[in-house]
Amino acid sequence: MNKSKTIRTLQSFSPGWSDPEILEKTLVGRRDLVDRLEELAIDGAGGPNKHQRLIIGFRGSGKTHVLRVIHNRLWSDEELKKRLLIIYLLEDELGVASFLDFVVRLLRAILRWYPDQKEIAQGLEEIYDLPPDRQETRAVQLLLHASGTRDILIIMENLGITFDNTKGFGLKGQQALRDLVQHHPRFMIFASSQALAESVKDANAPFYGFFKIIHLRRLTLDEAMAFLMAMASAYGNQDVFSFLNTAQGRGRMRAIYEFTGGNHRLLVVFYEFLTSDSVAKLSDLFIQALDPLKPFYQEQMKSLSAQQQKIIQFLSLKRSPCTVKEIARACLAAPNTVSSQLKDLLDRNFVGRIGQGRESYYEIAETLFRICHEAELEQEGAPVRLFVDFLGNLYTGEELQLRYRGFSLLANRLGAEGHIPFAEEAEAMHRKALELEPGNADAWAILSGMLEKLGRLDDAAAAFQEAERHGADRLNLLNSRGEARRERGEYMLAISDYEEALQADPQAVLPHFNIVSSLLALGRIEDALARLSSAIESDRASKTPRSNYVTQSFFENCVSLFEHAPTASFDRYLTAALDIIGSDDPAYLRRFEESLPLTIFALLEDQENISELRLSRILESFQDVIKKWMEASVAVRFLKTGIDHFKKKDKKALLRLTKEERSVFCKVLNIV
Amino acid sequence: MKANPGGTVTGDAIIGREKEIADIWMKLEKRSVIFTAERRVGKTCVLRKMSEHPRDGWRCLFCWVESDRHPIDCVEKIFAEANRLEARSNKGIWLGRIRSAYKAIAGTEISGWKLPPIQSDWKSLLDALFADISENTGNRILIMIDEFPMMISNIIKDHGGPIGMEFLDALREFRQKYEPSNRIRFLMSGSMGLHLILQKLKSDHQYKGNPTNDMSLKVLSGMIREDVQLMCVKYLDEEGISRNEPDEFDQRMYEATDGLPLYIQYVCERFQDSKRQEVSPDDIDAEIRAMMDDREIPWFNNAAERIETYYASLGADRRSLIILKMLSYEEGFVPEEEIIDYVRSQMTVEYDEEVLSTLELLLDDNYLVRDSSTGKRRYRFRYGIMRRWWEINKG
Repeated sequence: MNKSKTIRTLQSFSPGWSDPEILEKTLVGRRDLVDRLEELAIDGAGGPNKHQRLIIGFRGSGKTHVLRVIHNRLWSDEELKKRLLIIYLLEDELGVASFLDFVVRLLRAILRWYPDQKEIAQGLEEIYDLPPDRQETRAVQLLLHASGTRDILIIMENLGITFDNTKGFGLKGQQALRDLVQHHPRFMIFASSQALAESVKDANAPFYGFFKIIHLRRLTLDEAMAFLMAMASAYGNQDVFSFLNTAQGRGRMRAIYEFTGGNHRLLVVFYEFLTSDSVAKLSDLFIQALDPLKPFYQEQMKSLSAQQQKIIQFLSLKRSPCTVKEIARACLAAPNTVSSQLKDLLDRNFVGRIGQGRESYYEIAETLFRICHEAELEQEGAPVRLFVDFLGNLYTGEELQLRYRGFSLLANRLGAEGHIPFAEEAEAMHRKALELEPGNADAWAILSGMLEKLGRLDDAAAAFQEAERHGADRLNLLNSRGEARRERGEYMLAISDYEEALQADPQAVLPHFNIVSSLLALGRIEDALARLSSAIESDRASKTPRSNYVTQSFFENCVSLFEHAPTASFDRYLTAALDIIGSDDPAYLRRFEESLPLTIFALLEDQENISELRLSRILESFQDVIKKWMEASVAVRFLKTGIDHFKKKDKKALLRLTKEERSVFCKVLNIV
Repeated sequence: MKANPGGTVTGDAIIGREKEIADIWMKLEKRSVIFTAERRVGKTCVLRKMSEHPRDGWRCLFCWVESDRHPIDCVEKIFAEANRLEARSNKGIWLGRIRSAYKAIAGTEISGWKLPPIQSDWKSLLDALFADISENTGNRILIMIDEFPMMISNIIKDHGGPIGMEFLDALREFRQKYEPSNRIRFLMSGSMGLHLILQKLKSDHQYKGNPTNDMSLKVLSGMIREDVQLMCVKYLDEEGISRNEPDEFDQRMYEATDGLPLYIQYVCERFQDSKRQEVSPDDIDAEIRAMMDDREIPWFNNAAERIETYYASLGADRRSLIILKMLSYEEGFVPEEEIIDYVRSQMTVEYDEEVLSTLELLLDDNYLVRDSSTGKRRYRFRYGIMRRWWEINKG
C-alpha cells in the first residue's frame, strides 16, 4: 500500500468502514473484553441466559471499534447465526423519537444485514399506511417474525441518546422496550454510551440494573504504543514500524500520549503526523495534527449553552485551574450560577475538578479540547508548541538514556533507594551467566562496572582484567569504569580512565565530554571549557557528528555543573560554553536545547540534596544566560514550580501549571 | 452455567424458588395474590417460572404492564395474551364476548385499542374479557400482571387520580364477580409499593377504597439455603470451580448475601471471571467487601432514592432516613421505644404515631422486618447486606 493511500485511509479511519482484519489486529487493550462479549453472545444464543452489556467510554475511547469487532466475529459464525439474529444499528441512529421509531430502525437494520428478507421489507412498507394506533404492534410482530425461533442480539451505540427524554424516545420508550424484552426473553443488548445516562443510573428507571456496565479504561502508555505499532504493521508500513522502534520514535509517542491520554481516535489522528517527517519539529507536526480535531471540538462546544461556552472559553485561555469565584468574576456571572453550570460540565466530562483544602479548582478535562480552543483564540498555539517540543525532547532523552545506560540507571535508582538486594541479585545473575559462558567479554565488562559502582574495587578490578583478557573493547571498558568512578565521586581517577580511553582510540568523542563533566564537578571551569572545545571538534570530525550522544553529554555536563561546581561559576561556564557550542553550527545549540528537559528533571529528582539557594541560582542562570540563546521558558517554569513546591512548600505551586504540564511534572517526579 | 446478574433468565436458568412458588399456588387456591419484593430480588423470575410450568389444571397469562398508561392498555395486553393462548370456551368461540363488545363500540373487528370510543369504554371491555376468560373450559386461568403499581402510577400521571381510582375499584369489582367461580385468579406484582400509591391517592384525592384488602400478600425475600446451594453448584461446580468446605461455603454465601440471588450471581460471576479453580468461604466475604465499593453494582440506590421521592411526597422522608441510619448501625433487632426516642433526639416529633406510621411504611416496603416474639415490637433491616450498604453509604 503506498504511503499517500495509507494516509488517506488513516485520515478516514472509522471503525465503521475498516477492514475486519485490520480492526482485529489493531484491537489493543480491549481484546479480553471482546473475547468475553463473544463468549456471552454464544452462551446466550439459544440458551436460558440472556446477557446484557453496556460499555461506557468517553469520546474516541474505542467503543465503536469494540462493537465492530464483536459484530465481525459473530457475523462470520454461520452456526451461531442459525440461532441468533444479529441486528447492528449504525453509530449515529439519530431521530429515534419513539419506541415505534426504534423498532423500525431495527427492522431497517435487519434488511441492511439480511437483504433477502423480502417479507420484512414488504411488511415494513405496509406499516407506514396503517392507522397510528396499530403501527407499533405490527412493527413488533414483524420484528419477532423476522427472528423466527432465533434469539436476538441488538448491537447499538449511543444508548444514552436513544433513551434520552428530548433526543430519544424517553421514559415511555424505555418502558415499552423493557416490556418487550421481558415479554419476549429472547433479547440480548450489547450497547455503548459516552456516559452513564440517567435512564440507567436512576434507581427508578426501567433499565436500572438491567445492564452489566463496563467502563472502558484509557489505554496505558504501553498499550498506546502497541496500538500505533499495530496500525503500522496492519497497514504494512515497515518504515513507520521501524521508526517507532527508535528512541526518537518512542520519545514522540510518549509525548503525544501525554496529550491524547490513550484516546484511540486521537492516537489515530496523531499517528500520521508522528511518522510523516522525522526531522521536522514535533510542535509543528503537532499543531498541524490539531486541524482535523478542531471541527470535532467545535461541534462539542455548540452542544453547550452560551453560559457554559463562556466558562469553557475562559478556562481555555487561563491554562491553569480556577476557583468558582475567579470564573464567576471573569464571566460576569453569579457564583451560584457558575457553580450549577460547572456541575453539568463536570457530569458531561468537559471540566475536571481538583480539591485543594476547602477550595475546588476547575479546569478543562480534555487537554486537546483546550489546546484547540487556545490555538484558535490566540498566538497560534505558541505556549503549547513550546511545551510539546519540551516534552518530545524529554522523552526522547529518557529513551536514549534507557537504551544506552538502562541497567546502569536502574541500578543507580534502586541503589539510591536502598534496594541492595537487587544489585546482589543482578550480580548473582551475571556470575551465573559467566559460569555458562566464561569467555563473554561484555558480561565481564558490565560486571566490572556494577562492582565499581558498588565500591567493591578489588572485585571490580578483577572483573576488569577478565574483560580485557577476553577481548572487551578497551575504549568502552575504560569509559565505563570512568563512569562508575565518576558516579562515586572519584573524579581524578575517572579522568585518568577517560584519558586512557582516548589513547586507545584518539577518534573517540564521549571521553572528551566525560572529562568535561568531571572537571566541572571539580570546579575547574576553564579546563572544562577547553576540553569542551576539543569535544566539539572531535565530534565534528567523527563519522556520526551531532548524534544523540551529544545531547546526553550536554545533559551530563550541565548536571555536573549545577550539582557540584561553585554557584558563582554557573554564568561564566554557560556563557562561554554556549559561545563554543554555537560558534558556527546551530545544530549543537539544538542538541543543547534538547538536553534541557532532562537536566531540569534530573535536578528536581535530586532536589533533596540540592539547597534552595543553589536551585535559585540555577534558575537565575537559566533566565539570565540560557534564555538568551534558546527557548527555555518551559524549563524555567518547571524549575520555578519545583522550587516553590519542594522548597517553599507552596501547596498551590502545581496549580499554576496546565493540566498536561502538571501531569508530566507529577509523573516524572513521582508526586501523587 | 454462566452467572448472569441482572440479565434475563428463563427456563433452566431460573434456579430454585420451588418453595415460594408452591406457597403462591397454595394461596391462589383461595384468593388472588399481591406479590411484592424489593427490586432485583427475583419476582419476575418467579412469575416466569410459574408461567412456564403452571400447576396442573392452571394456565397462565403473563402480562408486563410497565409501559401501560391507560386502563385500555391493560385490556389490550391481557387480550393479546389470552388470544395467544388459544384456549377454547365452552361456548365454542374463544373471547367471544369481548369481540362482540369491541365490535359494538368500534363497529369493526378487533384491531387498534387506542380509538377514543374504545379507550373510554375500557370498563365494559374489561368486564367482557374477564367473563370470557373465566368461562374457558378445562383450565383455571391465572392472570399475572407484572409491574402493576408502575402501571397505576403511569395512569395517574397521564390521566389523573380519578381514573386511577376507578381502575383499581373496577379490578376489585371484577375480581369479586369472577373469582367465586374459582376459574380465575389474579397475581399482581411490583417492586414499587402499591401502598405508597394508595397512600398518595388517599392524601391527594381522598380515596376511600381498599382495592386489595381481599387479596393475599406474598413478599418475596432471599432464597432458602437449599436454593443458595443449588446456585453455587450451578455457577461454580458446573463451571469447574470447586468450593472448599462446601457446607460452610454455602452457609456463608447464604448469610453474606441474605440469599438474594442477584448478589449471589455477582459473587459467582466474579469467581468465574477471575478464572479461579477453587474458592473458600472467606473469598465470599472478600468479594462482598470489594463489591461494596463497586459503583457498577446496583445496590440499594433505588431504595434510597425512593425515600427521597415517594417518602418525601408523604412527608416521611426525614424520619425514614433517621430511622434507617440508626438501624444501619445495629445488627440485631432494636426495640420500638428506642427508635422513637432516637428520632425525637434528631427532629421534632409531636406524636409517637408519626414514627410508628413511618415504621409501618418501611415495613410494607420491605426495608425492615419486625419481631414481637418478646412481647415488644422490635425492628431491624430485612437484609443484612442492605444494612451494611446503608451503613457505608448513608450512615
